[in-house]
Amino acid sequence: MWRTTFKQFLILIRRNRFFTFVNLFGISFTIMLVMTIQVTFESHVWPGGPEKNNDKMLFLYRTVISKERSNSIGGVNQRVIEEYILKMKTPKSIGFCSHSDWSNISPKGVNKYQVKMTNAAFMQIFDYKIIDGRIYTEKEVKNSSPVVVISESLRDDLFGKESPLGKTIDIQNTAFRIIGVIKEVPNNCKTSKSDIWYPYTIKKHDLPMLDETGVCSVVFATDNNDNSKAITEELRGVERKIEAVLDGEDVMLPGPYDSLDKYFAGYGDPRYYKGKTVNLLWQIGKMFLVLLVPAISLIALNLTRVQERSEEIAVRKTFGASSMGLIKQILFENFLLTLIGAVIGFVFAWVTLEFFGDILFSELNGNNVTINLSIITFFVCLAISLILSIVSGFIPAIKMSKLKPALVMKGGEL
Amino acid sequence: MIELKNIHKVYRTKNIETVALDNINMKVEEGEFVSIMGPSGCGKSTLLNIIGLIDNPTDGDMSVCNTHINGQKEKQLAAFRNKNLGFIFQRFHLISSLNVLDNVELSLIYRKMSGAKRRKLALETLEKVGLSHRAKHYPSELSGGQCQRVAIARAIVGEPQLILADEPTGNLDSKMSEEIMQILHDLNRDSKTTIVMVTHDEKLAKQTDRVIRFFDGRQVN
Ligand SMILES: Nc1ncnc2c1ncn2[C@@H]1O[C@H](COP(=O)(O)OP(=O)(O)O)[C@@H](O)[C@H]1O
Ligand SMILES: [Mg+2]
Repeated sequence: MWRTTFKQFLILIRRNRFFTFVNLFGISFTIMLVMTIQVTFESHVWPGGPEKNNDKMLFLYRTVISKERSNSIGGVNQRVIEEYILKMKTPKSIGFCSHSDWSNISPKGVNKYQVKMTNAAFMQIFDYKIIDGRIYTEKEVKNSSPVVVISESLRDDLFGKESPLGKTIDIQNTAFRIIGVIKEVPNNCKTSKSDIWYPYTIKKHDLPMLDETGVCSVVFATDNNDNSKAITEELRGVERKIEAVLDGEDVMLPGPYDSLDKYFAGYGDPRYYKGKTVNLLWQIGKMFLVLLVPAISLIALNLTRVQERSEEIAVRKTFGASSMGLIKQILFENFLLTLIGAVIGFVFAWVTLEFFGDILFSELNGNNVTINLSIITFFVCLAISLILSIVSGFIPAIKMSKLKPALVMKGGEL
Repeated sequence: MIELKNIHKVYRTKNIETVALDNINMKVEEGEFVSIMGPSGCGKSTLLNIIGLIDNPTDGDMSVCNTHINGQKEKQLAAFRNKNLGFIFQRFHLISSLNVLDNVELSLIYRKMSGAKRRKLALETLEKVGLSHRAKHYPSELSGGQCQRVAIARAIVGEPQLILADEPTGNLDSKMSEEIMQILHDLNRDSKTTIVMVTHDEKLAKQTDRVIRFFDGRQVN
């Protein structure tokens, strides 16, 4: 039975090239779309690199201060960090940084580099691969030692392949001694990515007032028992403590967020962030919408085919095919077609991500973002295409099997 | 072989009722070659479809191939048709996406039979209708007479007890009609297959054992 059905299938696709093409195109395009969405999502939420342990991190990077009608939203205030957050007990460690950039003018042109001013813990929480030298210590941070850690690419730009350790570099009007080189951080590791890291204590400036927002972001390391609840509780306490010394202002330190929350919350207004469950459902919902379009067009296509094939169906029934057998045949045909489409879509997705990924997704550009077309992703897509094939084949199959042969098999003139 | 008692068939569409068959009683004996005649629209095809179990009567009692037809499930009826009945239609109704051989094999697909055996039987049957050299052709590449011979091969490959032919020569010229009739007569004589044939052609009807005449859904004798 299956062998015959398979033979039928081959005949079907050979005799109906256009139908096959449209069908395959729809399916493979969908699979490609779903896979690219999936891969970009993964590259945000689980970026790997120094953030490969981000399931043990919580992020605080926003502050909302409101009083009556007015409110301000910004980064985390450094005074709040120094006077309150660093004193928190529950996190295993607490890192923080602020950002700026540095333009280096050389005979080769102007190059812009990212700069992170951090405490010592920040450098330890992320799993930076040190390829030369070392990172700065707590003591160096405390003493405002002018030491700097640079990225592989900055080293290459400035010094070629030779070791830059001990050399001096002028950044933002300060002479730094280079003490370490860090393996290039993938571009999608947004929180840890930089070209230049130096102690936050180097740049002396007045700390902002408590009722102001700031420019820093904080990363908490959770302990092995995942005490994120306790950390969150303690952060709520910090909010109340700050409010206590303020003049009626309302302080919100949203989160701290895990990587999924961080992905969904982004830089939108944290007061309106609904949590990751809602967002995840939304995401899945959108995915289904994406799937719905090809599913509907496949159903439509298959229904047209039913019309075209009604004579064949009637003949088969007349000569002894049962409705159940026909449903099986049609679903099987659809399944094979979808399977082929899935494989083509997988190849499409691979090609797209491999060769056009940097055009499509700015965060993927750069040299060392590894795109994982994992076997899991493939099976997810296979499952999706299976659903697609059943959904798109079932209604037509039922309709076809209900066809009454007598309506088609009119012996004489109509 | 076939026995119909008080068969009625009424088609109900939105606001019209068409009585296609009105109290039909008839018998066909084993090995008989019967032709049915009557003007267009008098219910001949309806009758054949009911005997062929691809349509239900509105009312009445019947047995086909000595089996009383009474509330069998769709699946059972399909198996029954597959085993006992062969159909030939005026408009051939070959499956255009299948080649001649695959068309002939059709009813065998729904039986438990090895592919090789199926192939062998189909080729032998094509031989009988003189078309084995066309096995790999598609229906669109054949003439009307050849198509009808393929359709006959398809109908008889499973060795049914009863052949139902609805104007098998209606689309053919007289020479081809003669050829088709010859095949049917040989089949009736050699394999003792019972044949019920609808035709418009007095000359062809006269060659059969018995003529049943219809007018306006009724039998007239
Ligand atoms: N599916 C149908 N719905 C409604 N009326 C039908 C249907 N099929 C046939 N009829 C009517 O039933 C009558 C008999 O049709 P049919 O058996 O095809 O006649 P014949 O084969 O003798 O020309 C005709 O009046 C025809 O219009
Ligand atoms: Mg008719």
